[in-house]
Amino acid sequence: MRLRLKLLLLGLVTCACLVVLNDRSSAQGPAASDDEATRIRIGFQVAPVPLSLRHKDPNLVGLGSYIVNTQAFCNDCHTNPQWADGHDPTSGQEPAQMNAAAYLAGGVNFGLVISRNITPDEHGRPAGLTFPQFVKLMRVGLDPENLHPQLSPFLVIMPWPQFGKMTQHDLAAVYEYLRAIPSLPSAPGTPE
Amino acid sequence: MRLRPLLLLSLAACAFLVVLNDRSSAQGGAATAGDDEAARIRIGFRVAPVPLSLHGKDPNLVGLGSYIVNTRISCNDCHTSPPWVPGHNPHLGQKPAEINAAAYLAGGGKFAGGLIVSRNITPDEHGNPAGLTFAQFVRLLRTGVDPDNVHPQISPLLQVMPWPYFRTMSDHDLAAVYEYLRSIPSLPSAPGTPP
Repeated sequence: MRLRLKLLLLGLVTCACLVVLNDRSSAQGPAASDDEATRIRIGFQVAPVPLSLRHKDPNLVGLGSYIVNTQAFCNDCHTNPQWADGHDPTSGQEPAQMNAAAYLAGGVNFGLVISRNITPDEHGRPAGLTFPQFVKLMRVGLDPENLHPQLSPFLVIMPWPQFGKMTQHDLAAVYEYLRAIPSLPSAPGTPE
Repeated sequence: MRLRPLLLLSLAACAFLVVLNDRSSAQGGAATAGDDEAARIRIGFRVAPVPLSLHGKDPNLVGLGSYIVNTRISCNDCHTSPPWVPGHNPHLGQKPAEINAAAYLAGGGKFAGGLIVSRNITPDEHGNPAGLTFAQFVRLLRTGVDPDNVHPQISPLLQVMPWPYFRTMSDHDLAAVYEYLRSIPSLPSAPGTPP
């Protein structure tokens, strides 16, 4: 009788082990999730500023950084100047270094249009936008402040017609990343 | 003795948990990433503005490449001139938006007062995008060295192309972009485009 009890207990422990193990192996999972894990890892590597992960989904933040810093290159239009002094890779100044002190604080002058500060505001909202407002801006392109009605009610340089086709998940990742970067005062000349 | 049925019951419950766990993680957890990727591939095929040639190509890579090129990067903005069909420019509220398929990625966009002109990145007669093999394409994006050295008076490095960002993309994503560019129609270069 005692042997049976022991066997049952052993079976129970094995089963519990399987539950845990199973969980861990599926966290590494199939090819697509490997690709995604790589993107997230790269995202954390290439973020040029310290990230605040408090109350944020780290996987979204990492993926958002990957999209923002390796593909959408938001920095090129929203940071002025784009590169830290003496670290401009297009002039062969390696190692490249984005201008962290002004990262995504706007102020790039396109003539009639100046890029905006997309760092979090005092409420932690990137560019002062809630997530629904952010998604709407990306999908519809209407300038929430209507700053250049003489040109268009729509944003004329921001590639929203392309970005707006991103999945909801990718847009959520970009927003979560922008929530995690340091809040900065707007660069000189940046619209409110 | 009264312990035994209890133990048996918990053993069964445990086995059930293993199975359930397996199924739920196939839907959530790990495969969430797989679902996200499938959504990207699906959107990629939907937003490609030109017919795609899938012969001898990996369709998942083509779809993902289209997603990256047409939603996350906006290659079209610099490599198509003009980027939008006249009368269909969404920046001016002209609906429906329509990318200029007839000149899609054939270059001719002018920068720095015309000192720099964007190149034709459609496939050449050998099917190589911008005339580059995959190895050359990866090297260009990782180093920024202009393979044609078209403006040595300015720099041997590409000046407008955002390679300092693109170079940190994953190998898989770069392969996807290349595969997509292999599948779009080959076009003659736009006027003024460097050879």
